[in-house]
Amino acid sequence: MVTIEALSFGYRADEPIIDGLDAAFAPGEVWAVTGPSGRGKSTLLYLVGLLLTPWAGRIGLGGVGAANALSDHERSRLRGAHIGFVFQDAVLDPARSVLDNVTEPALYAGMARPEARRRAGDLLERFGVRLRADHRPGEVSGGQAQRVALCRALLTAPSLLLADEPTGNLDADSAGIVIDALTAAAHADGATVLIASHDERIVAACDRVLAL
Amino acid sequence: MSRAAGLVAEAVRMARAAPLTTAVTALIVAAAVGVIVSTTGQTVAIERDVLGRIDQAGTRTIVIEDTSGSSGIPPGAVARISGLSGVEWAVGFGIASDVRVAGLDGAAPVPIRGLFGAVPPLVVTSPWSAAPGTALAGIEALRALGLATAAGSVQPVAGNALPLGVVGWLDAAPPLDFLDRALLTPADPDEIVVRIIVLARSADEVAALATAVRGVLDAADPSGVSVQTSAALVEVRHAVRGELGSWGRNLVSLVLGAGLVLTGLNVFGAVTTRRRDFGRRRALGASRADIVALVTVQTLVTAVIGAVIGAVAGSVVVAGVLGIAPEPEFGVAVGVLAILATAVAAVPPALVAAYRDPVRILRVA
Ligand SMILES: Nc1ncnc2c1ncn2[C@@H]1O[C@H](COP(=O)(O)OP(=O)(O)OP(=O)(O)O)[C@@H](O)[C@H]1O
Ligand SMILES: [Mg+2]
Repeated sequence: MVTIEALSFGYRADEPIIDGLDAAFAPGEVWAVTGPSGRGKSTLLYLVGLLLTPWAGRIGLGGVGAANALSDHERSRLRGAHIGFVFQDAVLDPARSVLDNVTEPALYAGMARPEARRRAGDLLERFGVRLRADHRPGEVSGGQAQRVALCRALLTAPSLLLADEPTGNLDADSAGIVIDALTAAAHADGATVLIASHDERIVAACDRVLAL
Repeated sequence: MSRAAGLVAEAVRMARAAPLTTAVTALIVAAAVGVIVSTTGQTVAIERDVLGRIDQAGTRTIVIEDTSGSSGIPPGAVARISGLSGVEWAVGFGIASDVRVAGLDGAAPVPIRGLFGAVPPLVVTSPWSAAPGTALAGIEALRALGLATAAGSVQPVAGNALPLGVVGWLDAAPPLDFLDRALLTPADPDEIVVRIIVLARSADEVAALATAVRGVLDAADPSGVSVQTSAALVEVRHAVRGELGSWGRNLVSLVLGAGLVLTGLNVFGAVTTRRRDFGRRRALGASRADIVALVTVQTLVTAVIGAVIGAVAGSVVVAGVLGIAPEPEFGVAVGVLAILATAVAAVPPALVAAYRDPVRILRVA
């Protein structure tokens, strides 16, 4: 369960972007976060992902009442163990193999390397990029790179998935794979999924909508 | 695998994935260590060589001699000098008298000396209980006596004293090498000491020890007793140490300081161009402390490689130029210093990387 209470935040003191927001996202639900450009969709995802510190209010994650008030060390631990990010472009490490990119969160989540490699192999297989495991990110297509990023986000089976325009750069087929994977994470594995998007097809595929 | 071990392994992988940064850092460290080892290392090698020779030449020895032969050295002086602080050992000798092989009147006479105190470590002997009436023969004295093995009997040339049994051999190193040409026997109870040789624990203590020795001798009649030290050599030793030491220290701090600044700039450049990398890691769960550890350990691992290369190259230069082996401890010490300096240099850029706002980075990604 992810809860937001009286959340306020802005990048500048005189310019609040999110002002007194309340919301609750249950496990197994896929939420579309919509709104016009510049309204604060990405900002909300970064706040819930504990990468930004709110001015006021509380963000509850699982059993933690006010995760936003924790130390950097504890917030990082929560992020590594329970939160998966998917960005508009894949944000892979260009110097490392596809497999290494997928296993990267294991270090911060405290997952043993052999287990991480096994899980990564399974995920790459599931998303049809197993053959690219030894390639560098520069040697795969945009759609493949986004599937690799998806594998990375799913590696630790996080209870919260945050996707910011995950299909923005993809064709319809690749976008379909990404949407199916995110909804499956919620419906089959019980994760809470937040997708910030303008894409009508995505919004249609989500269970609920938070319009900012 | 613990988290710390995981971070170290990840830092090594990062070093491998950024070959240019790694090569430049390793090169800076190798150059700094190489320059120090090949320049100051020469000084250190020369210093060690010179000091070694000075010490061999007997800087630590004090020789007390009864020049009048009139019993100026009090009885018990050897025991009292042995008890002074800073004395490694002291040994006394009586007046030399001649002996020759018993029953061979025409044989060559060889000197024999009474021994006061224990046989010092500089003298190697066959097993000997130092029983009265027994003697050891120096390796050259054996030949002079015409004995094939270290066994036989010798007769004093003057007077009609009893013969002595030669029961073993001895082989002495300087400053006791005069014993090689003599026989050694336990001193008689009423025999007088005419020469005492004292070895100080260190050359620095010789001057103070000579004064203390004079104090012991003052108890009796000091006229006709000389106390000799190699004071001049001790002075030279001090000079060698001081001169070379301070010059080397200045150079070491200068080179290490320059290496520190260069490494800091290099690491700073690397974390600036790899901004995206740290934003991604933060989103995946790396804490600020993790980022600091990754950057620092990555630099440290690289520095170790550079330090080894530099130390080996510098030592090869020293060996080539001087023909004497450089001191391995010096290379190791410089290497460790350089590695520590490099780690220190990596901390400020690591903090910059850790405290950058990951959201700003990810937005432009
Ligand atoms: N570091 C910053 N400093 C000041 N303002 C910022 C900063 N980052 C973002 N903003 C502003 O915050 C507002 C919200 O940005 P955000 O990225 O959350 O919008 P969004 O809803 O995701 O938009 P889009 O649909 O275009 O992605 C925007 O007006 C943006 O210009
Ligand atoms: Mg956005």
